[in-house]
Amino acid sequence: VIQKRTTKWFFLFPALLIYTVFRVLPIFASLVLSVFEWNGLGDAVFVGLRNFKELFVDRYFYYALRNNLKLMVFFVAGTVIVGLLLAYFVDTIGRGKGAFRIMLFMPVLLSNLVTGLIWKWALNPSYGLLNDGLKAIGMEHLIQNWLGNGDILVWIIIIMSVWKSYGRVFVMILAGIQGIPEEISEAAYIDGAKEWQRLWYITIPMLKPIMAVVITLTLINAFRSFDIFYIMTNQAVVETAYVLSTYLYKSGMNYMQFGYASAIAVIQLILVMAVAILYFRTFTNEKVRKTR
Amino acid sequence: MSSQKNYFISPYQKMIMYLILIIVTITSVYPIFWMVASSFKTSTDLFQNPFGLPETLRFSNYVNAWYKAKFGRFTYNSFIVTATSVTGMVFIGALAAHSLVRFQFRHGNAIIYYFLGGQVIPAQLSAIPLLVLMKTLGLTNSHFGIFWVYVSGGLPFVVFLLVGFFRTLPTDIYDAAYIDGCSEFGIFWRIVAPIARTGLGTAAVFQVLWVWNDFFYPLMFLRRQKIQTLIIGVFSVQGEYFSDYPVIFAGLTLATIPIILLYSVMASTFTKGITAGAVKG
Repeated sequence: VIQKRTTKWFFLFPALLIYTVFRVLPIFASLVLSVFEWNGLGDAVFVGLRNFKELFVDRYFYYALRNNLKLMVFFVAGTVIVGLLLAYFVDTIGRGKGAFRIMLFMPVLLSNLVTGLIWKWALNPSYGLLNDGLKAIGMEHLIQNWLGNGDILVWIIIIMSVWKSYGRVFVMILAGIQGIPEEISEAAYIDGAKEWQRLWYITIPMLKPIMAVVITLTLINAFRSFDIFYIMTNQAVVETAYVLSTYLYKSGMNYMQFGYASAIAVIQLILVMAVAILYFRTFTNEKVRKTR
Repeated sequence: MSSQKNYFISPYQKMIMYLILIIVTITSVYPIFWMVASSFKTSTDLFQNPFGLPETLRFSNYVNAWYKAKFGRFTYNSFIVTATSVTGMVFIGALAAHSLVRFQFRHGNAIIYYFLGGQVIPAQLSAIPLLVLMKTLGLTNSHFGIFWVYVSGGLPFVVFLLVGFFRTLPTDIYDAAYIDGCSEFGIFWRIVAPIARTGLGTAAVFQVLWVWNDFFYPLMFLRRQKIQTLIIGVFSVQGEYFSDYPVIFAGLTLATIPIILLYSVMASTFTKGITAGAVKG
């Protein structure tokens, strides 16, 4: 029995150690660093809450925060609504399910770099496909420097991110819809229900558990956004298109303000915690687990 | 089965649904097709005829990408990093998951939640302390170094997925094997691993997709060009190739092909894994 006690820890230990050192410790280190001023080379100086005070009067920080909130609302809503509609359409039509599933899933497979560079090329103000296309159909007045205007760029990146993610949501919801027993729809039909009533009173309520999973996962991905923002704003600095993660990267890696960057990390952590509570509740809920 | 549902829907409504689906499908696939087509064009062709097919199938962009732009080297690096990291995280994670399922832990669930926490917190948030740690340990700019970052980042997903999977296996045979003189590692290696092949495969496939496509960790930790992966290698040279951009599209196509191949072989594994829930972005 004693041998087993060592064995079980022996099996678990490598994972616990690597995960703790490289994943957990840096998060706690961020908390500590946020009350210091440090450029990574000399000695770190304790400054109390000064980094946070500076943060709250920093224009760029508010741009970043605002864009993160935009992502939380519009990226999540866009992805979930498009995914839901696609799944509903494919299920209702009932033909070509396999083909649609393969093709709609394609963008999910791409690297963010591939997504970013294709779109960047298409949106390039001087030779991009979008401006060329607008010119060709005689709508020159809509021509824009799409990559230079931060407010427009954020919306473009939200659209790109929705494009990249709806395939995953579609696959999840489609599986959910197909798990709804046929008899319920039949009974509703016999009782004289209309299609919108079937959708509203049967399909959507039956999808509730899977929708909880989908929404939580998409929310988490909203907070993970970094790559596409970084790639799209990499050549021209567009301050109004910062998100917390890219602003953190810039402060830390380009300006070597490790303490200030860590203060941004703390704010981000607080926001993520709210989502995390939702995540844990969703993923540890027995009822949800069974429906999955 | 599905046709029975159609009694709710008029053919006219169905047509509209079909139309929308086809438009969205084209939107999904066309940019990829466009990237591949552009990788066969000359620079002038790309500017003058951006939408159409290339006039001839020229492979010179690929030759340039492979040799002059060092994408051959980058591809090799990507294979090394992906193979080692994913093998490492699946092996270490599976061992931990097996231990959590087979043995009694006083705080077994707490340990699982501890791992799950890493799934929620974005990697960028702790990037700067991680960089300091990596520099202190001398692990930056090496494939050996980034291995640890990937394993630590991949463990939450692997452990969570496999704990769920291992719980569905018949655990009685473990004790029987133990009584027959099989070692505990033997039970893991000869009994659990073979019958859990699908679970291990699902975990591996998603992690390959993540590591191969990853942009952030190589950006942080692989600064020297010689050791860069394909994704970050293409990103770092794209400025130099601005007048010869088809070479970059060739590089992007090279980065996409292995994933599409993997998907075409294991599409059902992808679908199953995704519908099983917890999937990372």
